[in-house]
Amino acid sequence: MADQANFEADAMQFAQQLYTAAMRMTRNPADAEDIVQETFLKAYRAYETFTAGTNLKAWLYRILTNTYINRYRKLARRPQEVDLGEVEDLYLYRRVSTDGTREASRSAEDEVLSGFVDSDVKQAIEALPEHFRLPVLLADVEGFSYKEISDIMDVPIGTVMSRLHRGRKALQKALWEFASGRGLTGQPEDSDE
Amino acid sequence: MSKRSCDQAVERIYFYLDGEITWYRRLRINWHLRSCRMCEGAYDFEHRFRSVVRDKCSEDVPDELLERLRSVLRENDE
Repeated sequence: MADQANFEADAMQFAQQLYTAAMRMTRNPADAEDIVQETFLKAYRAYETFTAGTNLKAWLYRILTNTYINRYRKLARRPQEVDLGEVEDLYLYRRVSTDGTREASRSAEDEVLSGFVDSDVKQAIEALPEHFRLPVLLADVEGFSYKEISDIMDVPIGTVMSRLHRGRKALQKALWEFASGRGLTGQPEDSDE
Repeated sequence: MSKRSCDQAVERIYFYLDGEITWYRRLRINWHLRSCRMCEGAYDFEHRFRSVVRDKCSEDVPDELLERLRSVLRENDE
């Protein structure tokens, strides 16, 4: 059992991460602030049900995820969501690696990786359909394990794995398309330089 | 390099990077990566790609929100 008096000291360290996740879920600052605030309030009120010494971060994310789902799922303003058809494995790698030496490939990869800007990445994540966006966020941004994600989202672990797999491939495709749209990743042969 | 071991390495890339793989399979993959440039490159790229995603989607939490959270918690304290 956790002591409610310690809640602020225990939980505030996660505010920044929770806000980042909330931004990717809701896609706008006002809604993100709302669900973070509601999450803190719910967590504070339920803090005595939390077992001290267990995974507080995962517990807070579970509350955040439920809050988001309950409040915003139906209302969510959806931008153009990417088509989640079959995407080949190693989608991005196959587009940036060269047939040259490992050194040449590495520099071509670096160029692409460092060319992605924050807004490309955020936009690509936000374009994923929610079922795929949440596991990708929880795994790749927050570093949760499959088991933790399964508990947070309340779905079986096999479902987490398959959504994560497809979501990651779709993320790479979306990112490539956004970045290409900005002209960043134009094929070398199209370039005048 | 056998096509089959490359296929297996690609199929397991996320399990490997997620740390959700048995030590035995990890060992076998490490073994494969040492002798296969294509797969080694793919693993390295996916690993770096993930750091890029993590680094570039972080948000600064508004100070005003932090203040609000603290005051909401204190109000509820009474």
